[in-house]
This record gives sequence, C-alpha cells and structure tokens, in this order.
Amino acid sequence: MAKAGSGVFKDWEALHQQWWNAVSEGAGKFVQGDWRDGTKAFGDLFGGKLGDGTDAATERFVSGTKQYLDWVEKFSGQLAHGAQFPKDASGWVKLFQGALGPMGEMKNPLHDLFATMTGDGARGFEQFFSGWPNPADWAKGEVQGLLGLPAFGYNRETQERQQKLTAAWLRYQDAMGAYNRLMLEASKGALGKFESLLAAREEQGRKLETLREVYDLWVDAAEEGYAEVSLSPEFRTAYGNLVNQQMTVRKLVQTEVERFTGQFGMPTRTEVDSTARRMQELRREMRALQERLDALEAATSAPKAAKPTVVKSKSTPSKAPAKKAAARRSR
Amino acid sequence: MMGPIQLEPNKVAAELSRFGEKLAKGMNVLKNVPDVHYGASDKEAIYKEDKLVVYRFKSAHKVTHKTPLLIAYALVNRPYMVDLQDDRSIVKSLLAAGHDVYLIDWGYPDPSDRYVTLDDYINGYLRRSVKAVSKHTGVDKINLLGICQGGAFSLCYANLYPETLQNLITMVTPVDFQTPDNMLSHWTQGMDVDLFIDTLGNVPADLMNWCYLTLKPYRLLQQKYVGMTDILDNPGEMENFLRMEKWIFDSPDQAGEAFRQFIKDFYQGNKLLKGGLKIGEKAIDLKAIKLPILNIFAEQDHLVPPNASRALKGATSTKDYTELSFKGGHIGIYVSGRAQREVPPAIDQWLRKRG
Repeated sequence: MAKAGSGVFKDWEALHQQWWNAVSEGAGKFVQGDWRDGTKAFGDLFGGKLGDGTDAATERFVSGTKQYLDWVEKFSGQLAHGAQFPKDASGWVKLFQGALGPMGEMKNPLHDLFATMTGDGARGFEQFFSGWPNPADWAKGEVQGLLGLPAFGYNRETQERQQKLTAAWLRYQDAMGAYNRLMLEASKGALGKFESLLAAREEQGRKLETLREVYDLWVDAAEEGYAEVSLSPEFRTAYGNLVNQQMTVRKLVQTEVERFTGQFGMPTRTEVDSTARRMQELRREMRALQERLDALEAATSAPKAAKPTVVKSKSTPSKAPAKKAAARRSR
Repeated sequence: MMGPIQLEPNKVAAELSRFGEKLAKGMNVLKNVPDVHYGASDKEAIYKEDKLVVYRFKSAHKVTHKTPLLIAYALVNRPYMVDLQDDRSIVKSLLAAGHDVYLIDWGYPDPSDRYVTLDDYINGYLRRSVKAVSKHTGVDKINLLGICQGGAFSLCYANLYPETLQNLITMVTPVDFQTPDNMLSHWTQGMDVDLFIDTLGNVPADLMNWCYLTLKPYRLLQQKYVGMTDILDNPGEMENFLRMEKWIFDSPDQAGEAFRQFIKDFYQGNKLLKGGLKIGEKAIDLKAIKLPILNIFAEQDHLVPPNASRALKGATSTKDYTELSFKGGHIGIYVSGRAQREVPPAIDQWLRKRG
C-alpha cells in the first residue's frame, strides 16, 4: 500500500490544508460567517424566496452541505494525515467507513438527516415529540413499579390514565428501538453495497477520480441498502408498530390536554371536531337541496326556453337543434 | 495502484477549491435571484364550491378541439404542478395545441374539512366540476385527465358517470396498489389507519412530505442539496431549483376521512383493482369502463411504480386502450424538458384522433 505523505502522495498533506482553506473561505463568504455554525450563519440564505418554507429549506441545504463537507474533511483528512491508500474496494470501504461520521453505521444513519427537519418541513419520528414532557418522567424513575401498582382511592382514575400513558410511552420507545435496529441493518447493508459497486467498477476498469464521484456512489449504495431493508416484512411490521404506538401516545396525551384545558372552559378538540362533522353534514344537505332546486328550475324553465328556439326553428326546417338545446339546459 | 478510487492530490485540490468558489459566488446569485413564482398561464375561475375552484385557462391560441379537457390532480399537490413556468407547463403546451383546458384546484383543507370523504370528493366535487365545465362549454361530454390520485378518482368517476365523458387520460395513476416495489404501500400495511386518523384528524402536510422524503432519504435530504452547489453560480438554474423546492413542499393537509378510506380501500385493500370498492353508496367496477383510455406512466417513478399503473391494461372493458411510457420520474413527468417534448404532444395526438 502506498502511504500518504510519501512518494506520489507527498503533496496530500499540504494540498489538504490548501483546499480546505479554499472551501472554508468560500463557505465563509457564502454564509457570511463560519459555515460550521450551521443555521445561525445560513440564517437568511434564501432571502424569503421560498416564503414560509425558507427556514426549512435553509436547514435542508445547510444539513446536506455540512454533512458532505464533514465527510470530505474526514475522508481526505485521513489520507492527508498518514492513512494508507488502499489497493482494493475492501480497503477503500474501510477508509470510507472511518470518515462517515454522522452518516455512518454506529447509529440510525437517517437520524441526522431527519433531525434537521425541524422547521415547517416534515418531522421524523423522534422529533415528533420533541419539546413534550416524557410521560415516563412523570413516574420519576419508578416507572415499572408505578405500572404495577393497583389503582384505588380518590385518584384512582387519574392514576390509571397515567399508568396507561406511561405504558404506551414505553411501548413507543420499544417500537423506536426496533425501527432503529433496522436502520442500522440498512446502514451495514449500504457499506456492503458500496464495496460491491466499487468492485464492479474496478472489474470494468472504471475509476472514481473525484471525491464527489465517491460520495455519489456511496449515496447509490446507501439507497440500495435502505430500499432492501425498508421493503422487508420486518420493516413493514416495525414501521406499522412505530406509527401505531406513536399515535397511541399522542392520543392519550391529547386526552390529558383536553381534560386539563376543558377545566378552564377552553374549546377542546372533541368540540371542534363535532362542529366540523355537523358543518360537513350541512354542506352535503345544502348541496343536495341546491341540486334539486337547480333541477326543478331547469324543468320549469324548459318550456319557456322553448319559445325562442321555436322562433329560431322557423328558419330551419328541422326542430332537432331546439330539442337538443332544451335537453342540454335541463341537465 | 489505488484500486477503484483514483484520487490525485492536485485534482482533488482543484475540485474542492472549485467547490469553495461556488459557495462564495452563490451568495451573490441567491441575493439577486428574483422571488420565485409559478403558474405560467392566465386563468379565470368558472366554478367555486367550498375551497374548490374550477379554472379555465385563457389561451392566446385558437381552440381547435371541440371537447374541453379537465385536469384533476392528486390531493397532495397544488394546481400549478401542471403549469409551473413558461418552459415547463403541460397546460401551456396543451393550450398551444388548441385545447380548451380546465383545472380543478382542490384547495387547502382546514380542520373544518376533516369529515370530507371520498364520496364528497368524487360524487360531489369532481362530478359538479365536470358538470360546470360541461355547462360552461355547452357540450355533453368532456375529456378528463386524472393525475396520480386524481387518476384513481377519475377511474371511479368514469365508472359512475360515463355519460359525461368522451375520453379518459390517466397519468402516473396507481391502479394496483400492492406491487412488490411500492414502498408507500408496503409501509401502510401495518398501520392502524383508524387510530391514525382518529388521533390526527387531518393528516398534516409536513408528515406527508416527511414520508415522501423517507422513500429516498439519502438522495432527497442530502445529495440533492450537495448537488445544488453545482448550480449556485447560475441564476437561471437556481431560480428553477428554488421554484421546484417551493412546489415540492407546498402541500395541503389531507382531509382525514378521505385519507382514511383511501389508505384502507386503495392501499390496504387494493379494492380498485381487486373489486369491492364503494364510493359513497356506489360500487366501483373497473370492468364497467368502456371509454377510450390513454394511460401514461413514468419508468423511474418511486411513488407510483410503473407496474402499479400498467395494471390498468385489461382491468377495464375498453377496446381503445393506449399506454405511454415516459422515461423519467413522478415529478419529472410534469417538469422535465423531456416531458414537455413528449407528453403534451402525445396527449394532443391521442385526443385529436378521438374528438
């Protein structure tokens, strides 16, 4: 194996510093500050051109570019600071793996991607409850004991509801764990795919000559690995379970919020829904009545409308067009 | 020497210096790119009901097709998807070809629309929209172009009210909702949809968008934005990028009850294809459809896999069925240059032969 910092690669270290300065300087100018300071520096990047979605779009751009630059820095940095240049696909994958960082396999690889989606854009499962109190905290570390306690006395119903909510939260955490485990599988699969794609290129004599090409190939591999896992029966079960457990917790929390706000005379979700249901029924009834009215009006106005067509029909031997027009109006 | 990766220090240095330069120049470009707008063609409202509006596009061209064309897109989209900008507009191309083009804008549901059902959408809004176009143009039958979910609605409609339609065009429309490569369908199979809707009410657009992004998370959440740096110094390309970005994330919430039935009957039950689907009190039977059908699908569609659309072949009783396969994805079929060159002319030629 060739070693960075010697022979043909002797320039790596110096060049690494040189190009990294160039990137940092460019990025600094772009964001008017230190690009590593993410959202703060990128603040008004899109200048309101995306309307309400500006923040979300900015964060997506910041996140994508930042993760890429992080990887570039680590990947190239390993070479510049003495890592050896691999000879084959397997060696490159090992080097690549070391530079993956937040995109890597040590945790749910999508976690950091999803974690950026905190604006008006979509939110991932883990962000869904961010900012909410953890129902398990309510039990102050005695979750299992609390769940096992029989409820009785003055606070019996309250205690039962809290037990139910805490149990649901724990099930949700389990479901999230199962989902994350599958994500890890996807990540491991991605590295395997990456190695295969590299090996295939090597066989064909096709080389990757830029960092961007390496990155793009890794994305192809990552998507393949993810697709394989996310189309598996295990994922179907885990995903369904995660959604269902999340909805269960959310519904129980909503119930608690409703009970609380109801005590202060605030309108609750149940009341709003009830109004919406009635409004929709009224819309349907009104529309049906309107259509009946239109039909009646059309029927009664049809003979009157026949008059001018009769006049018109004097100039034409056939009455067919008049009949057709009347029929059209009555529809 | 280095296996499959042939990195040369000077080339990498140049590559990354260019990257830095692009970023530096990009700020000035972004500052000077005008606010992005969409909707290339003038239009007038001809019918309104609740949040729905039916528009007629104004055309500078002579209308040469006697049968008007009504476009019904999916509830997750926005009307300008078919009229994004001057050089990316299906509507503009159809107008230029002499069509009288109408469009249903479904509007943005709010919590008061939580109980709007598929019955309301198909037997109500869609039926009355067709009627409004018919009345506006003075014809008995119109052409209906249904896109994605709007295509599934259009198939139901064509079954229930065939006397009002001359021809039916379905574009990237799912018919078999359970093809093995349908990731969205796969994910919904284990969901308790009743719990989901009873909890959420309307389904938030953010949640829908998140779900779509997670179909290809590495590409859509990261690579796309890394790729954006390639065009940072190009004002025209950046304007297009920002417009697409705005469009993709401009989604309405989904009316809860309609969503409930759509997931249960279409995705989980696959009833549109297998049978057993009812819209309101009316049973749907694709075999009852005898209209001429043009079915357009995209070969790289990750939302509606080609086989999900191809399933329409043979599912109806029409003797006049045509397929058009487009080399692109679900979004590209509306916005790519290739789509503009291929799709509207194909629709025009197909309709021209059928009146």
